[in-house]
Amino acid sequence: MPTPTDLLQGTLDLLILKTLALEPIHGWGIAQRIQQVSKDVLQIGQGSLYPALYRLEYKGWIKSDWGNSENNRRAKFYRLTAAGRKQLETELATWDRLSAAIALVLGRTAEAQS
Amino acid sequence: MMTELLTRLRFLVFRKKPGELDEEFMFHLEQSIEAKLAAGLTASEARRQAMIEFGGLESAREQCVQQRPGWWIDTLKRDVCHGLRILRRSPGLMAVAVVTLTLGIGANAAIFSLVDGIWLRPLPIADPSHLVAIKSVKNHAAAGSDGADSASSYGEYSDVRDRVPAFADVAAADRRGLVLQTADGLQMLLAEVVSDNYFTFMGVRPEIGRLPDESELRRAQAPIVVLSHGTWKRVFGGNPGVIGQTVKVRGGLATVLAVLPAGFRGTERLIDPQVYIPQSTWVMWAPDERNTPRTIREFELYARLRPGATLNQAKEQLQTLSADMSVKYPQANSGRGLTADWQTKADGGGMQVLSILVLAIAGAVLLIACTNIANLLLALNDSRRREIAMRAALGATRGMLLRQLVTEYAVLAAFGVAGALLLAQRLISLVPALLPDIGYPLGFDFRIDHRVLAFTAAAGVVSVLVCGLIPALATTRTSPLDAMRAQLPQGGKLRMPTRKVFVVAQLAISMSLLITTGLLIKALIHIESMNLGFSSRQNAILLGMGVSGQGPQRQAEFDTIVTRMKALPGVKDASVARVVPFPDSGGGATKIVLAPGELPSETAGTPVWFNSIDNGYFRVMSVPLTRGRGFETQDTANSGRVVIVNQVLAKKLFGGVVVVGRHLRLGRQEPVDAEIVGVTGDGKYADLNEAPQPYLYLPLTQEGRSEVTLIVTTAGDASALLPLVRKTLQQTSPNTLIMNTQTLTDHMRFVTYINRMAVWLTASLGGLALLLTTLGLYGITAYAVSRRTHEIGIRMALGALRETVFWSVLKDGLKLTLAGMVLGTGLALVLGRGMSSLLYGVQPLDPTTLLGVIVVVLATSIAALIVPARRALRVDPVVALREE
Repeated sequence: MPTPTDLLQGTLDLLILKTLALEPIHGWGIAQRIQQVSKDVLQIGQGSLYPALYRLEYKGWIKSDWGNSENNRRAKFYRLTAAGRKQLETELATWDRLSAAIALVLGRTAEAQS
Repeated sequence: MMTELLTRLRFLVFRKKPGELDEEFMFHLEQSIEAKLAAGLTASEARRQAMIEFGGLESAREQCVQQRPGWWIDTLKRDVCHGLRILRRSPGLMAVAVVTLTLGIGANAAIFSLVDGIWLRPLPIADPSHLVAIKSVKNHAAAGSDGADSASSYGEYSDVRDRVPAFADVAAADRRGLVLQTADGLQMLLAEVVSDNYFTFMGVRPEIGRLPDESELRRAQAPIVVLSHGTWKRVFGGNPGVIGQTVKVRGGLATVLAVLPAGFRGTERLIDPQVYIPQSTWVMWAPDERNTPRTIREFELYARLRPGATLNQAKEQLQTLSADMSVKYPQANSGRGLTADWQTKADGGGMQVLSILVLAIAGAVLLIACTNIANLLLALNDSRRREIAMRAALGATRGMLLRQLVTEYAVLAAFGVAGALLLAQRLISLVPALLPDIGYPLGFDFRIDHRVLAFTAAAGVVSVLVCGLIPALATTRTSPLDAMRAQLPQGGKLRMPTRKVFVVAQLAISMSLLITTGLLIKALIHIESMNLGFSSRQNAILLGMGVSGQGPQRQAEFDTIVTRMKALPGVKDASVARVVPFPDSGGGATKIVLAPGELPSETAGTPVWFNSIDNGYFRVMSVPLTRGRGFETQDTANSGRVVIVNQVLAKKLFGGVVVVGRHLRLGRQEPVDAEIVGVTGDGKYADLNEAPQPYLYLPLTQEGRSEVTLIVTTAGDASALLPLVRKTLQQTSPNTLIMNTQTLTDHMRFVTYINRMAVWLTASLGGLALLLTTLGLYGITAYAVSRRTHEIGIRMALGALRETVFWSVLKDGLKLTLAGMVLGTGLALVLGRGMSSLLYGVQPLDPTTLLGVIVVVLATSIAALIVPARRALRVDPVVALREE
């Protein structure tokens, strides 16, 4: 198993927002989805996942409701708010700018990477 | 962003239920376990791995909680609650601590409020910190010769305004009396006659009405007045319809144009002017004042610098102007120069020194209070050592422990500050009753405002830091291992000595305060027995009055009034004089006296204070006549001019030679000859502290004046007689204006006001300091005894005598007392130097005072020591040894 990469400060928020942009989902689901999509590279420790979720909720970017999971267990589902959607766009733009800049510094042009 | 802010606010109020978090975690774990089971792990292994993956449940929970905005409020609340519990656990100790803080901070808050009201608070005008005060000073000020006449003439004001480019604008103000005719009869108001640009200059906006600017006032055809807020309320009942009304004043009619806001007092700090009159209006009433000679200096000048100009430039330009003026107007300006300084620096004078002194003393008392509390907390923390060690062992960092302790102390300080504010409020409400009645509204404005609140809060915070941090640091320094041991650790080597230093310092401060109080009281007694040159302790009414008429007619009016007064039941005697000693205006007016053989010239002669008196004055005031006679009926306006001099003047003019029958000359350029018919004993005339001054008496018949003081003496209560005197005066002489009334006792009270205030302050603060110090001495001794219980037990078990034990405890305490007393005496010496002007020659090391204070301090110290010393006697060796 590949060693989990330490996430860049603030990146976790972006990943959560992005994951939630598809559909409302519970905490476990978020962790699983990020792990799957990143092909097991990104493993979100629960120790940081839940504080992040709470932080985002306190900021008003996501909202939580209790609902039933696939196997009919009571679970807390998170969904993106309008403010969160806007925040996601801003953060995506910031990410693009940042990664392009890093790529330039590392000598790999953005074109070469894509 | 708005939504974000709203969400945050919502969560600040409504928190998430703690259960939700756990349920969410559980769901996560279950999912994780299920996934692992599906991957083929055994149930227990799946569970184990899921738990490992999840990590610390508690720390995750804590981190989630900390995401909540304002989560620290909860922590604070917890600390505060814990603090309250701790305080409740030792209520006696905490009550002492809170009371100590209340007294210490309360005294400071009250005194700060006073000092702020008298001197510190910025004037209620626009940009008070950049106000420049201009004074006219003599180049070679003859010591005490003719008071401090640093005011300027209106002519000088115009010159300064026109010819000092460094000033953007200059304003002038002069205090006068104004007679106002109201429904209740004539009233004397304290008026501020001001230059026409004054209101604009001060940047004051009217409460109601309209303040005209300079050009408008100059063009105005009719007189106008502006009322103070107080006058509007008191005389006109706060009726807004007063604007535009015509009021009758002695000079004629005037229209009320505006009412100034409450609290506006111009540049006055001690009094509250009742009405403001522009100079243009004033000269309409008194046309002869349009060209007042420049020798009459009545106006205080204030200026503001032009942007870019400096104070030094202004001073230089004033110097040039002064040189010019002394050439142009030698009679008024030779030997004089104008100087300027920031008003904030020029203000206050003697009050400033006193204020700083008193604040310093109050600060010292607070320091005593703080050291006491520090000692208390040290003792308290000793008994809490195990609790603190337990917390440290459970993982609390030193920072967290400190935070906890400091929060507790902050709770303590909060109680103290709250109590202090209540106390200060009470104290301040007492002050107006202590102020002397001078017949005019005083401008003192003592209140608990934001400045006092800020000061009190700061005093509280500093107290917490001073008295909390040392014990807190000391307590949290011990390692958990040490503290957990059953044995109470012996306090570090430093600690007892630190406390002893505290107590010695406290004793020194209290000692010096008490000595100072003793000296001040002695000085007051000294004043009482001081030869003032007149009888200041008889029951008398002083009534300022303005009598109409001129010359013989006015003289006849005086005589009628005095005769009627003497005939009143209960009245011993009556007299009329220009002033009584210690007039409110300082030394008062002077006459120029030429020395024998001195040639008349513009600068010749010496100014000498004088009084115009009737024939009964010496008798009524008990002024001793040492040679010759007093004024008699033969001294009329038409007879030859006569004077009476005091011994200082007699000696100054003629040496030791007999002076009755000799002549002196009054006036500078065209002197008038006058025969000396008598010599009086010397006295004090303007200030209790003054050196022997020359003084001159002239008969009222020859040196008349319409504004005089009626003196009525009685064997009974002077203030009870006042209504009768007032009524009789109104009947006898309906046109006479009654200005202000006062008993002689009140008048003399005002003279010694500063002294009595100083006694009052140092006595109460000194007493407070001694009380706190006694508590401190008791505390430290009691603590020492409790620490020595074991040792005392052993000693007694080995056969030590009870007296030996008793003395060993007492001796330790007395050593501290003695050290404190020696230091305190030294400190008192320094303090005494600082306030020598209030001590009237009483020596700083006055033996009776010193002895008295030593007895008091020693007695209280012994009282504080005896209780713990007796407790040491009660130690039962068996119990003490078993305890360990």
